[in-house]
Amino acid sequence: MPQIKLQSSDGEVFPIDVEIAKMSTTLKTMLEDLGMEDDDDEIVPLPNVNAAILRKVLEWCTAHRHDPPIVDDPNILDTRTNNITCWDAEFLKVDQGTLFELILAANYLDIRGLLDVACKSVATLISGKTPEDIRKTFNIKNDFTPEEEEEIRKENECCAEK
Amino acid sequence: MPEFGLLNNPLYAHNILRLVFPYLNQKDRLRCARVCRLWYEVAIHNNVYASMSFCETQFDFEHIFPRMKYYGTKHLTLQSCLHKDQVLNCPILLPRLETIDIGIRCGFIFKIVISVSPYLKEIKAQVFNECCCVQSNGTPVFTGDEPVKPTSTIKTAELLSKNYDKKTEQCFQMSQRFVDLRKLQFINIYNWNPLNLLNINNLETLNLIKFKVPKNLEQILSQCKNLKFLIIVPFSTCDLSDAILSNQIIFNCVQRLGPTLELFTWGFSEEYLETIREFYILKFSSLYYNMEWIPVSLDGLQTCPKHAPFVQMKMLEQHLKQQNWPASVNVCKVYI
Repeated sequence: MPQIKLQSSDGEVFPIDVEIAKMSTTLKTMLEDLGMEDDDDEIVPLPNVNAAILRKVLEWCTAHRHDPPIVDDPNILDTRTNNITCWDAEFLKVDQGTLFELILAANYLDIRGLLDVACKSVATLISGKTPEDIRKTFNIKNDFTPEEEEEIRKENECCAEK
Repeated sequence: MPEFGLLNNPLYAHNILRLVFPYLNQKDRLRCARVCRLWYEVAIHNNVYASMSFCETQFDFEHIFPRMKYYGTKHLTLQSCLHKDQVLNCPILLPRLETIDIGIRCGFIFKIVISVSPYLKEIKAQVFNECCCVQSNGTPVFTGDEPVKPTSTIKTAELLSKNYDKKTEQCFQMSQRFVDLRKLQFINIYNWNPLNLLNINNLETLNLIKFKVPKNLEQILSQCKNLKFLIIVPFSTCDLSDAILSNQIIFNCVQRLGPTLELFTWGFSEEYLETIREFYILKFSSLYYNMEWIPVSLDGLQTCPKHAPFVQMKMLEQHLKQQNWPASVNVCKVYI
């Protein structure tokens, strides 16, 4: 099976199957545009992804290599948060920093499935919570004045659940 | 753990929340705006106010509308508008509104929306009998002192009514003067004056559900030069000759509209089928089997996709297609 080499921001090189690399739309386009598919020696640098995160991303891609492709239509966004598979849930049991880095990497590499599930997992941390709970969850400092807070609070009361 | 979480960092907050927001509902997104100044900024930056949806409960228009105005809300959905006075003002308060979707009570909206909102492109509204034309002060909107100016910015308006009566007709007549009506749906038309349709040049979709087919239907519909989608479900009748006559009228009518129609759906209610059953068995007796009903989507109505016992509609359909009928014909059984 043809392979290519990816280099993380901190210099580690990961040889991977082209088939797995192509789950990333960014890499797929690049490989096709540059005609690099047959060239085993080429190293693709990924300056935005460090080794730990890249390892994680490749782990996800390997596990999901047989998934049917996701229809990439921004209008059809599956926003259900209750359909995360056990494997993904287990995979995403990481600290917030790692989760955020995964989202950024999935976005950069354009891996729709991973981006989807990682964003959903952050969304479940936010969904249904009060602002105070959200602050606690993400350890965020509230810098509103009480007046400002009251002002914005009023907005929420009138919105439909949708 | 650091003293403060990563989402206190502007770069992180912008990049992560931008991607996560689409997975949150409106309520959660607005809650995020309350977390801290940075999140508020991110929420605004991501157009958290661009599209707003309200139900009638706890509707503090006066508080939220200035904010929505400031951030330029473009799409507004009002699932029910019990606060008529505020709803009347909403297009004034929201000058950048492009689409407005009003669950019920549209009559009093039309005038206001059209007279003040320069960007408005689309109105969706449903008309219900009891309130379709009544303004908050009780006077019909469309006969008010202030004439409503025609506007070219409104591209489409749809008028969907549940029961067609005098009020609907009034509302419809007045609205077609200044709105470019593209879709009409009337159900239960007991007393219909089809002359109304004469002036709607741009009508694209016409759904006539349960109506007594008037003799001059052909003449009337031939005026609708841009009609693309037509659904006709004639009124149930027990009189066979009535049924045959209305079938003939519809038949001629659709044949005349011919190539401009993209899809014609001919629906039959259960009772209607009973009435014409014998007639069709006689006329198409050799074609009496193997027909399929095609499920079609009618707003708010169920249609039956099942095998039909008697009328050979598929043959009828082929028969129709040979005679200059629209590109596509559906024949369906409708439960009303």
